[in-house]
Amino acid sequence: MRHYETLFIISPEVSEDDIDRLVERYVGILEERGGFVAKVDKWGRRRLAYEVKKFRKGYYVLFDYGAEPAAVAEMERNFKIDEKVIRYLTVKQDDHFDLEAAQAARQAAEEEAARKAEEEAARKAEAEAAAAQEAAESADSARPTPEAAPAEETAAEPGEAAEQTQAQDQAPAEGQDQADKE
Amino acid sequence: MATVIRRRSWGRRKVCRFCADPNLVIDYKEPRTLRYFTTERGKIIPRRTSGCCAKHQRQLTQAIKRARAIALLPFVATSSS
Repeated sequence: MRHYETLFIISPEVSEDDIDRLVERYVGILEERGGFVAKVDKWGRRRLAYEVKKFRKGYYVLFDYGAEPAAVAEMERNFKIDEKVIRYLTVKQDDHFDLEAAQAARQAAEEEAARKAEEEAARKAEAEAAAAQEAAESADSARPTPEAAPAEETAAEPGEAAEQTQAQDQAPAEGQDQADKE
Repeated sequence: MATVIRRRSWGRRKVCRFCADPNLVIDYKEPRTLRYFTTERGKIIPRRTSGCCAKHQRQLTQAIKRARAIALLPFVATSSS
């Protein structure tokens, strides 16, 4: 299995949904033939350096993958037939593709994403719980609890005021400098 | 003797930018770096002007040609682009 990289340009007239479908199709072509797509990078719509098939813009997509030469040939054959693909370029990165490392990297990335999502959910739940608690407290004693929320506000205000005065201090100082120069 | 004259006319000898800065990689996917090594017409700047070492100039030429093939760099640029 060899390590390849393919950059291809999709016609700018193709919609986002169709692009996703198209990309999936080519990933499918590679993976059906024993390839492993490590990375799909959609660069998005970019200006072309020159006109290609009368288009001045194009949607760039980059594949980073390991596959047998036959699989690459099959994908390129499909690129030629497909009118939505206006240009492609395949570059061999290496004669050997480290499949295990790529699989491990993808798994790690997925785990990382899952962990992040979990953390995010936990944080959200916590915030919601806190908000609910606060709401309950304020509902319990709507009148005599001016401590929690208002206290924070008053704490924040002097800080801001101080910053403002500082800024004001600086501004006149600069003005003076200029006056001195003059 | 020739070197003396050259030095007088050129000032100092240029150093290969890619040897000097190992973080700077030659990649056909980065037209911004490659553009620095082309004229405004889109021609590849020769080694005697760019100051690149032979190894990096070869890689650079390869990368620029690939970038041209995939429309990241122009074959011929008119003054507008």
